[in-house]
Amino acid sequence: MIATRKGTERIVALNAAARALGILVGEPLADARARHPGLASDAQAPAEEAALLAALADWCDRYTPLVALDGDDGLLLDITGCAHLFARDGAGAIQDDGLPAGERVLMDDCLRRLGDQGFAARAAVADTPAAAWALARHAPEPDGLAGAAVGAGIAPGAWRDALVALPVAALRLEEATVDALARVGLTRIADVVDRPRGPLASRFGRELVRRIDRLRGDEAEPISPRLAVPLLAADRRFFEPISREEDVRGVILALAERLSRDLERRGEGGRAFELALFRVDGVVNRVTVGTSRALREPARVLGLFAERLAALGDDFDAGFGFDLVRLCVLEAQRFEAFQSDFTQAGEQTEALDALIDRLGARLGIARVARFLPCDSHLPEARQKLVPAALVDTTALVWCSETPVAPDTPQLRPLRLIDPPEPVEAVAMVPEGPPLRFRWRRALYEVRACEGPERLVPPWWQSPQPPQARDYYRVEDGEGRRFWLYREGFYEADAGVELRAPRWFLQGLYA
Amino acid sequence: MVAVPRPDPDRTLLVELRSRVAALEGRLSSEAQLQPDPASAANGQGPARLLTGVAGFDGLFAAAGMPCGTLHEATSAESRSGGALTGFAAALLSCLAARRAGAVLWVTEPDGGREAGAPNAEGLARFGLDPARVVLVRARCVAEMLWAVEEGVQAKGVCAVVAEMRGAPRALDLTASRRLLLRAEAGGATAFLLRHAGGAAPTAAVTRFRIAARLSGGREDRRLAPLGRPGWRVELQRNRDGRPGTVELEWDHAMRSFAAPADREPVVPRTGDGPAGAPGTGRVVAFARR
Repeated sequence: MIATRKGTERIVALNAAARALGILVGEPLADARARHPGLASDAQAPAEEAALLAALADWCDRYTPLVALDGDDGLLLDITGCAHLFARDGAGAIQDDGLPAGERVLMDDCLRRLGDQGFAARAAVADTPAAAWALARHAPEPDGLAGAAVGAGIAPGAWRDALVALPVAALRLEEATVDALARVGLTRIADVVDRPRGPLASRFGRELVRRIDRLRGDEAEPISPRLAVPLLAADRRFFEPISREEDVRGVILALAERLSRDLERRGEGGRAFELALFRVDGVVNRVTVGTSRALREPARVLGLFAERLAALGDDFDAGFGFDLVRLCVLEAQRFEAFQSDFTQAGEQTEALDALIDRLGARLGIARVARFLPCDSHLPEARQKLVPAALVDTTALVWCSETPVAPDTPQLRPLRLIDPPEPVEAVAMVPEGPPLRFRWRRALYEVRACEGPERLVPPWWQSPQPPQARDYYRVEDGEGRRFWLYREGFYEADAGVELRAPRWFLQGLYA
Repeated sequence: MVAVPRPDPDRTLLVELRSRVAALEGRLSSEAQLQPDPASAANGQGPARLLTGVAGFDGLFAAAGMPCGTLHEATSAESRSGGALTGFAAALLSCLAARRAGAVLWVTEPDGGREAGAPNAEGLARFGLDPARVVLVRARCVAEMLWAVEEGVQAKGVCAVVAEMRGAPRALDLTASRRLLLRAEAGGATAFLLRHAGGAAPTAAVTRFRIAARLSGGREDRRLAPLGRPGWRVELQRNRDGRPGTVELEWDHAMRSFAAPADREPVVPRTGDGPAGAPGTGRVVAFARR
């Protein structure tokens, strides 16, 4: 793998065979080619690499929900409280190297699966992120295993024995600090870790002391997980991967039942659910559904996911099957139980909410909308379409006074054309109603007209003074009714030219 | 002395007073009320037929009034007549929604809004259809739209479903529309297919209305609102539940009901060439002429 650094093509990554030839990372490609003409090289693609690492991080979600990216080639997993789940017989049994069984099994499993996917990974388990980082990146490679998946572990409390022999660079210091330390003969962690802190800090900066604290575990080092940690999760692993859609549905139902018991204990219902399907080849499919009210019936949860999977259609690719299926509750809310009455109003609302959820799951939540009234006098800003699943229906208050006189004009059109379409209109007098107009290349004769109604856009929203609009409701020769407006006035521009206002068509009436 | 049904100041006053009383009492005018069907009322599905109060329209159907809980179709000649088509649908929905609980599901095609605009909440509100009861679904293709309509007519909390499309989509064939019809009849909600610039493609809908705007031509005697009420020339091209025919309708915003156009109203009630409908709004009222 090559990349251009400081004007020359340099080697940034190597495979095991190249390393065996004695080629080093950072060497110019030309030098390496001179020694080994048969060298195959490929340009580095940072975007693809980042995407791959992100996908890998998602995949690592199977071990713990707390997965963070570490630089551009590492992952940090916080497995506190997760490891014992992986111990096969007797949680907490200590292995001969001092590592608890759960941690060992987890790391081995992770390395084996990554190896199967074709990654050469190095892993370490330790008490603190800093210790694990040091061990994974700077531990000497065992002979004959160069480039293969290697895992190492530090028993709880035993960081000193494992790490003191490592170079100071393993403290994750900047290059300048490492050089400064080397100049005074401090090259190993053992040389700095027990020195008086004051002189170290004053000479090499506070960063060094902080790194040492983090290594010892005196200072906590938080990791920032990539994905939000779900409130509740239930998963099921399969020895034999499943791929049929019916099987997946069955698993979702079983997981939803487990979640529903947990939700019931908390007195809550889920508002957002996520289904993660871990494919054998490392691809993770995630499907999220939202609901318009707190929900915990397993059959309804399954129904929503079934809609989503049906919407995916052919895009849903099970590949060689899924070996882990996980269902999470991302968002929960108090579950309001209601009692049905004779009017069945509650049941109707619930049926409508269920319909909105079903439609939203298949079409996308924003495509199922309601009209939210907005405080604006401009017709295009008067209403807003908001997702029906998220809006509180008590906010949808539309003024609906009954006109008392039988011939009250209809002020607003039934259909709104947004943005308004320009039309060519002719008026008898400059600021009078239109006589005829041309819209979409068809000519319309105005037979009758109501108006004008003047609306001015808010002056505080644009730097230029807003153009007033004079709206007319017009009827053409065949009875069709339109809503036209004239933007601006006839005015002398700089005293020379008469600037004609423009006409627009914004709506259709019945 | 029989008053000629012209916009007479007294008559205008009477209509206004009647509408005020109706609004105060929270009842609807007697002409526009529905006859509850015992079977469907027992199901909790509301009345089975919609009486508009216009004899010429109600009489076109076999049992007086447009059947609910089934599939109707309305088309317009061009998409620039979309206002008239939407208005007719909004008027029918307003009548339906006043008498039934539940939401109105309005399903549109993705680019339907580009050609004829998008439904406007304030315009619907003026027709008496509360925008808070409308759920707007923007489907991505016709197949999704048909699926959404099918889901909608089966749901309990929905009283009417509108599917809006342009032309005659290939996916909406006899089989698909028959499926919608059966679902609507089983579910109880009324479904409307609004086809802008829709030709005479065959569907399984019970009716096919051809909607055109009715020319009011401007009325000099209405100084405030020369355009007058919204009106339609409704051609019932196909009717499985009665006979085809053409009728002119107007919408009365104050009464929230259909009305026969005032200037074409027959003085003598129409003799029946069908079952007798409910008495129309254009009742003969006697006034002393000043």
